[in-house]
Amino acid sequence: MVEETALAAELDGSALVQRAQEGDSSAFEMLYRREVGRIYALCLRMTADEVRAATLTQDTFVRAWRRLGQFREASSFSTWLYRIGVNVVLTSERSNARRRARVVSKGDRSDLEAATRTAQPDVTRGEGSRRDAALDLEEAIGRLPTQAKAVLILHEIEGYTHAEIGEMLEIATGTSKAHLHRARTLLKEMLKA
Amino acid sequence: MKNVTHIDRYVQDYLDGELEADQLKQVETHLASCLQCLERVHDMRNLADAISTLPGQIEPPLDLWPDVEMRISEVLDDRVGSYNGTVRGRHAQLKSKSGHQVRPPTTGLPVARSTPAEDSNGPFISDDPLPAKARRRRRLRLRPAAAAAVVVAVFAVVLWTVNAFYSDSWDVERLAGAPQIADALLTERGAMRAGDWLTTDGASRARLRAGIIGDVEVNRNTRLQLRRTDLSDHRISLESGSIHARIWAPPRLFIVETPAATAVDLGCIYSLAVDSAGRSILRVESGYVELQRDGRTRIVPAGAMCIADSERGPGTAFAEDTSPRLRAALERYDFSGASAEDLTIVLAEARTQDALTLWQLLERADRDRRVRIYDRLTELVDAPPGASRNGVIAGTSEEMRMWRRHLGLEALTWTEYAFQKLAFWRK
Repeated sequence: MVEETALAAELDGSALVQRAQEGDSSAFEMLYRREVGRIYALCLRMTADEVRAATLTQDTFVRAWRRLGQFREASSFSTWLYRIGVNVVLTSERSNARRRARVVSKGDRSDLEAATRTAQPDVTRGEGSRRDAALDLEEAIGRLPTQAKAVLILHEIEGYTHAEIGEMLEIATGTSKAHLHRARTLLKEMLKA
Repeated sequence: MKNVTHIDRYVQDYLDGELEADQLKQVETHLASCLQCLERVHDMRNLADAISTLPGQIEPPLDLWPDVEMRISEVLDDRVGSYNGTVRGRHAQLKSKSGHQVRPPTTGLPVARSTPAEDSNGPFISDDPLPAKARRRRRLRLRPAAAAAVVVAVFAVVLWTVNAFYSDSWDVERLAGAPQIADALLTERGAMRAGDWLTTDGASRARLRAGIIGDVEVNRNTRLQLRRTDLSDHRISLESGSIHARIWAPPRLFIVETPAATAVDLGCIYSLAVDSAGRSILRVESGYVELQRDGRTRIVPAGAMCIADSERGPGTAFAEDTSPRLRAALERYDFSGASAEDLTIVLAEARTQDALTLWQLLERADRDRRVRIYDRLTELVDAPPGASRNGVIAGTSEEMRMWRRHLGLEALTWTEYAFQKLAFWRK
């Protein structure tokens, strides 16, 4: 493990990608270790379901491995992978219309709560309310319509521009803006309620 | 009525810094005199700030890499473009092509077995089978020579089968890259004898074929040795990497040794990987595999997985789609102290499909824990007729056996296997 860590530090992302493209699964594992947190966060927020998020995270990396030959360094590997993750999640959501329309249940919330607790440092006294607010926010995001949720995550958490989001989701820039507007408005209403 | 002079439509662009200079000036002028819009901007800004504090990364509760590694090791080089979602889809195609009976991925459940007719997606038995049988019998009676020919044919089949099961070498086919047998590079086809090592690097894969025993795909970065091949024992040692085996020989003929445990085939399709920590990860797609070491044995049915640790041997089998929380707690329970807290998590998280896991935990639990596990198990699955709570908690062998059969965890003996095959073909 120490050797692997040292090796990972030596190799920049492009060298790892090149090795992975040549079929080196240990290089791909290093890429996986770097990126899994982002991809899992995306999948968990989009599905509000820990089990599905884990499955979709796996699917994302398996699909990326299959398509490594198509990756060109015009974009970063991280962006390319994230785009695959978005597609995997949206395809899954589309194929399950019932889930797509559903409202997050208590059980779903517990997944998000557990994950958010793990992801955030331990809170000291007096900061509990801030954490509760974050959990409310996570729950509210989970209840957003799929497209609005995707745009919100990509824009607000990942920092992509509307042009990039439009390209990623194959929608017009204006549509991306409209989804973000809807997402923000709905979130505001949900958090006030 | 909404005041059309407010700036609702500009708030988002204003917050995102995307307004043109003249629009920005107008908005700021408006905000200077409109508390309502100012409040809305504050609300939206607070919301954006709150979202920006959410973690961009969340670690999965469980290391997903072993599963990813196993799945990517099975991906073929030339399948780009024909991807259909998951590698499991490819296995489903392979299974249906090979005509194997495939159990649904509902681990450990007393599921109704599908009939051969259902398996073949069409009428398996003719509309009027009895007259056909009668006609066959009549023909045999009328033609003794035909009966003699059948005897000869059966003898020939037996001879062929013996020959097929008995081979002192396995055929090796190159699937990608340049696998190595001993020190020689494999160009297209070759053979392995007992004692030979096969090594694949990050770009090579190979397929082993042992007569009619079955075949074994050797994935990338794998090293294995053919230990033995004779009539009663076909055995390889998997040192590292992963394989995908499709075995149609009778049970217990094909065996894979790994550093952590030995996998004994009971007639099935499965994947087996040895990770960098020396752990074995078994995933069964059809039939059963027995994972064993130092007297500890785990039956792993279709749709289930099992991990074996290099120090403690096989852990508890679990459904492939079990919750990550259950899986993480189970792994701690199996390999890091068997705490009551982890058992509580496992029991709380268990679904009907996890009856397999609960049963295997129950089998090795002390009396107090056995009571807890049994009570949870019977909340999820009906007890088999005739099996009592006290009998199971006391560990009465007959009642334990009834439960194992009920959950589909009783491995077939040679005789049972033969009768099952016979019954299948007679239909």
